Amino acid sequence: MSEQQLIQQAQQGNTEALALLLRQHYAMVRGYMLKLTMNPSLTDDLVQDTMLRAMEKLHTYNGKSKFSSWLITIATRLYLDRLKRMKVERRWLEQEGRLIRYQVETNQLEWSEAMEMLQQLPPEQRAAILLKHYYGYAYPEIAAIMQCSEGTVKSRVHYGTEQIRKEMKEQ
Amino acid sequence: MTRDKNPVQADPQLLQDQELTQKLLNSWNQLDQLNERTPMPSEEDMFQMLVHHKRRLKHKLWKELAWLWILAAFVIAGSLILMHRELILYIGIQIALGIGAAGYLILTSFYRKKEMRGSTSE
Repeated sequence: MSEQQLIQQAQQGNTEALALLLRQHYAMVRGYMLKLTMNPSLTDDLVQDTMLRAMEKLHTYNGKSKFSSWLITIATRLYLDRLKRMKVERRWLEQEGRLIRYQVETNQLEWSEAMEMLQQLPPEQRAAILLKHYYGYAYPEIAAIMQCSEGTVKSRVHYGTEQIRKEMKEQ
Repeated sequence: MTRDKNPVQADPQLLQDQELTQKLLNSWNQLDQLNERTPMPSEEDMFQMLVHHKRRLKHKLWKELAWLWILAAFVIAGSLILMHRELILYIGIQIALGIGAAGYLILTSFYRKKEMRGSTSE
């Protein structure tokens, strides 16, 4: 069954079609969330929230964008909302984020200098850089995803990359 | 049109940017590999999760609806009693509520627009 058919069936209330559809995108959303948060436990939590929110809002999906982009939008907004609510706990989140280094290294993968720099960036800058340089979205698209102006996105990408470049030069 | 740059010579800033982008891409690829090694829920797990959530939403909706009806009953009954006893006060409250609602809508739309503009100082 094609993705379009699955979406149509899911929108008509078929939970099995929805489960199949969401499972097909699960790895992509999880991968995105892991790169965005750099925090494995927060990732799992937010991926689950994204799936449930997608179920609640499926009737609003109009097919104008790819289904994966729609899920990325939901995931990003959930993360930014979570950050707003957890301002006090940001430090705790950052400390917990160190777990990812352990996971990367125990899986015989490389924890690079660039990863360290990415982790130290403010989350909003990291999100803008990730969406721009890894997922290849245009500035207006990122602005729509992050619910801010195009100028803000440009400045986040600029200052974020400048920060990484500066830190790398110093090391 | 004059060209002040040798086309063979690459812009050092551009090279630096490409190098940085490549480093970032390599880092993200490592995280993708980590993600691939993490087990995924089965289709059955997803189905159960969605069914459970649907049930919870339905329950929550009925609960909220019940509270809304109770509240509405109190408000309507109170308004009717007030209208019957103190008509002037009733009209005054209606006007104040109207102004309050309009003020709230104007304020929230202002803050939403402000949030959309975002902070450019980041």
